[in-house]
Amino acid sequence: MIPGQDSTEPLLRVDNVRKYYPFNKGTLFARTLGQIKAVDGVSFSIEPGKTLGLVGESGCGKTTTSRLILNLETPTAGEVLLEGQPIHDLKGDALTAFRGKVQAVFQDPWSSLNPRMTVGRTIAESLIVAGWERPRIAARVEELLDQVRLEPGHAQLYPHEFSGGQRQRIALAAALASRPRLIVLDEPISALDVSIRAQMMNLLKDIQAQDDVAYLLVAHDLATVRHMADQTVVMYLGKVVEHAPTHLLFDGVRHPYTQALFSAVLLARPDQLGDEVVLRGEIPSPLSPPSGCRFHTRCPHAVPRCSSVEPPLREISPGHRVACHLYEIDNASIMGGGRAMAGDERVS
Amino acid sequence: MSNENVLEVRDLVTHLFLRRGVVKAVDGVSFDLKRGEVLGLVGESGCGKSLTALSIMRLLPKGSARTLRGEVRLGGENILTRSPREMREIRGRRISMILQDPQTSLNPVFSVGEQLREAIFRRRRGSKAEVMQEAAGALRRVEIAAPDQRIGQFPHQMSGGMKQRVVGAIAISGQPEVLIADEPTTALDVTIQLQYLKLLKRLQAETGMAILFITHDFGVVARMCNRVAVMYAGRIVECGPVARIFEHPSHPYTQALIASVPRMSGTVGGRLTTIDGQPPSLLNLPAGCRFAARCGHVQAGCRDGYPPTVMVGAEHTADCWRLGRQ
Repeated sequence: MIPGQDSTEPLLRVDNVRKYYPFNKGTLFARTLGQIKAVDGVSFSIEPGKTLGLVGESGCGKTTTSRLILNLETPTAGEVLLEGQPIHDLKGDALTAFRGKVQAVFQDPWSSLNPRMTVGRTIAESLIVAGWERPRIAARVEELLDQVRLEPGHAQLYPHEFSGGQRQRIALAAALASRPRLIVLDEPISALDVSIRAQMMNLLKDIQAQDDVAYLLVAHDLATVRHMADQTVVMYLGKVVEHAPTHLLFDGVRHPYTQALFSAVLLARPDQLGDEVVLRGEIPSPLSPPSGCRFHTRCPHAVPRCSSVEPPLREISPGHRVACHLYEIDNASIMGGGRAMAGDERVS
Repeated sequence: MSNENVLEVRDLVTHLFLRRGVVKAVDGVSFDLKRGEVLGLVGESGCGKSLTALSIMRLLPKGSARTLRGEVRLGGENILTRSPREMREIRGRRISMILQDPQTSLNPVFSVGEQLREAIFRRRRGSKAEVMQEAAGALRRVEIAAPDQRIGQFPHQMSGGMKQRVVGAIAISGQPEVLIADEPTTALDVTIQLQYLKLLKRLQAETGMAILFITHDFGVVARMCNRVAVMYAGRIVECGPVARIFEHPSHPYTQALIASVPRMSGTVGGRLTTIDGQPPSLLNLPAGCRFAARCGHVQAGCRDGYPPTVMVGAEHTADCWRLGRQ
């Protein structure tokens, strides 16, 4: 994953992307009062056939990030590249081709399917757009239904005839139709019943193994991310606070916010309940995020410096990046201190 | 926690009468809630857990739902036979409820203070200033910062977590013996959810009220409850102390449910245990054990009749034919 080397260019690269929404007051003589920094300088990449988990609470920018990747929003700054190509410049046929390569499955299977279209038609939609002929479409729909463990006869039925879990599998089949390279999964299991979730997770893993498709898994449930993702990115108020390979992250969480998230994840067994980090206060408004480190208002370890200086995302061990003043490399702070002292001497 | 039961539910049957047929949503539910304990009622959507709560509160949707049988004994007396007027006195003062969505449980056109005042007023009369002071105190108890300013605000000026705290303040303002919390944290963010659960625990320790905690999340049960009852297709299929149910789940449904949740420790990867199929339609329940169609241990006699409730340990019961035969 060395940048600049084409042979190792990842499938998707999100490069310092920002998305600001103006906040207006009034309609006719509208004034812009400020900007909501929904996504503020986010970078990560996804390798072919791998899963990246994007974790955070409401308002952290995870949905905006996924919409930027789906090319449903244009970034204020920064770039998203698919196979090395900036996606937000695409037009015409190139854009159509992009839509085939990046697909999405959304949280609510009740609202994401057209109630007046048969399941077969919904799944075939993207193939019709791509100009496939009828017999080929029919064969592909049957193949896709089989892939998501539904019966061929289900193609003639309407969404209301299915359960939530089945609907989510129909949505997945529709996403898979164009053989995408990347699927954005926005909370794909949180609307499903507990006993159905495991089926969906197993199915997603099987399909990834068969088709070598990459996933961007947007979720708030850390146990799901741990089970599914190769890399995990934790966001807070538009910023990445921690980014690491999932196994490293779950072995040692570093950022105080991630620690709090971990402790908030309601572990499945009473004997696994460890120390609890209960955060004070509410999530601040993204309209006026706190100065310095955005988490400092709720952080149990905050020091004066946190409210003035924004910590950069830095690598603290191979592959493990954290944006927190607590983990600044020791000798850097010593060097900083040393320089200040030298300056003092000169003044005196 | 004492051994005295503050709430006893016996053979409760509540059906929904729809044009399509009769939905047997609650079909013979029995459990006890001891003074000062938290009992979890766990199940998937549509298993009847919320209708059980509404039947206890006697707040069933008008027209379609009716409680046909059973007893709900609050402090020894059956409240199902009480008049609507007497029920209004019981609700809020002896038994309260918190619903999932704070957005819909607060009135958007009244300030938070007015809504609290209404609840306090039912318990005791007093001057406006006195009651408002008590309302501010109630907000302080649920850890709302600057309660004197918040009291004049409207629900839309508050975050979801804060609104749910206000709902909690209203629910406990009548000092009830029993609080029914129906998925109170499902609509909240994870870190806010933890705050809320901690708050409920603290309030429970302070007031000694018993909580019936309805959830679909075993993780919440692990954190909150002393005992847990697992519900499936209108019946409680297993009930026992939380630690025991996690270590030795006896009913095949509970076993599969616990095994299907991904873990936060141990090895990653591999496949999760799944429960095949769907829960049965409550319109058309199968004869015999309701889990038989999805059960990995199904045997010849399982579909003959509803299985017996078997004692499988101290205070631990499960409805299963296989356990009964052993």
